[in-house]
Amino acid sequence: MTDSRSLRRRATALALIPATAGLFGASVAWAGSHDPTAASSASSTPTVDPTAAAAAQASAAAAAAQQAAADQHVVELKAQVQAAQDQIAALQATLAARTAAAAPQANAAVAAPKPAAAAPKAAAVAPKVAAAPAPAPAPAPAPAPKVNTVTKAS
Amino acid sequence: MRTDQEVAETGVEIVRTGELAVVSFRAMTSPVTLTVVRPGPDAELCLARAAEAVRDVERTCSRFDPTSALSLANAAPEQWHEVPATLAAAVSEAYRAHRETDGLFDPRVLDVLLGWGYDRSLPFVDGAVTRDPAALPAVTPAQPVRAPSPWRPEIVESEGAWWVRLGPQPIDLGGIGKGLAVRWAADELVDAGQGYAVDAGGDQALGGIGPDGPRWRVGVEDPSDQAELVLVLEVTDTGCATSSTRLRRWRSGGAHVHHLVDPRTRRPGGAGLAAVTVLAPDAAWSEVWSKTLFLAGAAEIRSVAEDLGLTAAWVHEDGTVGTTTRMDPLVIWTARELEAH
Repeated sequence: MTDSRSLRRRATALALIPATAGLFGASVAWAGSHDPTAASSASSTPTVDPTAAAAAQASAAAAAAQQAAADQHVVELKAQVQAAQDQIAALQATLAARTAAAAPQANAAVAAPKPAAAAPKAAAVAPKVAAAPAPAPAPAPAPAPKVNTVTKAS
Repeated sequence: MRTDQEVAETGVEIVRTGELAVVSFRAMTSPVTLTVVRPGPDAELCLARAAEAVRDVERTCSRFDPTSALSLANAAPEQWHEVPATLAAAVSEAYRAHRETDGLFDPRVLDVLLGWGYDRSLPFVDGAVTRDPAALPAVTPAQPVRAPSPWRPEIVESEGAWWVRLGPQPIDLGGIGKGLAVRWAADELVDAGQGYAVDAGGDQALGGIGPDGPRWRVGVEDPSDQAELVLVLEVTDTGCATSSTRLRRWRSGGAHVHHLVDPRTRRPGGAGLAAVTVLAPDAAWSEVWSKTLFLAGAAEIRSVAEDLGLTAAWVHEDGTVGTTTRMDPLVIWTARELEAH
């Protein structure tokens, strides 16, 4: 039994020798390839990679295209803003005209119930009309002066 | 302010307040007030005579008193009756009013009022009055407008006595009788002081200075609320009367009726109107014109009043107040905006 064990140990050790040597060699090769000094001294002149240049050109073109697209978008947005401003100005002018027209109706509504009923309808169409200054309420009549007699049903 | 109350030798109860002497009593189913401003030495006598003038009209011209001269004449209107001068004068003035209003003032509408149950002094002040519809004819349907047949009473003075024949129908002198009472009472107060007022249930005569200034301030009652006014006028030397449906209205035969009967239709007149006030130099004619103008109705009242040149104001049933151009300068206060001219 003892002999077989020794033989087995011996065979394992022998089998590990080439593996260890291979591992060492690989380590040395890795170190060599990663030695910065060795690299710089090996190639001091810059070299151009044709693949990288093409990629860079493509990237620049794409950036320019993106910029152009962005500029175009800004132009379009500016145009939309201008159109919106024009529309707001037109609406304000319309509302101002409606407000001016609505004011006498509101005054008349104090005396006539029917026009007053129509006022909320106009407000629903154009809320800013409702926001216009309301007509001043009719002043309460002054109290009757003292009288000496009263003529009445008889 | 000191107030003294005294019973004068004339039997008139006089209340003196500041510069006023006032007599108040009831007559012709209305409160009557006689006022003298800054009374002179004869004020007491004048007030007594004025009160007697009112009572005399009540005695002779009331249709609610079966013993009055008018009631006796109405009992047999086609016969001649010797009557007091007061009744003769009242019939004469009513006849004149009938002519000058083209028949719109017509005291013969009494039969309509009786048919509607106004055959006695009704308690209008207490609220709604309903006459037994089973005993009364219903309000007649509206008839086409027709010219009323002329009324021609006859009045004769013979040897200091007055004789009257009314015609085929009995008459009602209620409205004009009150106006005449105010006129004749005012005649007694002209020299009683520096100003005077006679008020018989809203029919008035106003002269001289008022209690608070050179004129009298007259409130015009809101017919929808007797505690409120629709106008205040500043006037003097004028009569004033208001015809309104606020008080003398009732239900008869299931229908709403009032005392202002249109003789053309024999129906309640003045559609759309609640009250009419007229100022005229004479109190009796203020009464005549207020009543006849009321019959014009809401649609015609402005044109009729302006055509007649009346100093008038009116209140529509919806509360709108109108005035004639002659009334406008006398208005010193309005409760609401006046209707456009």
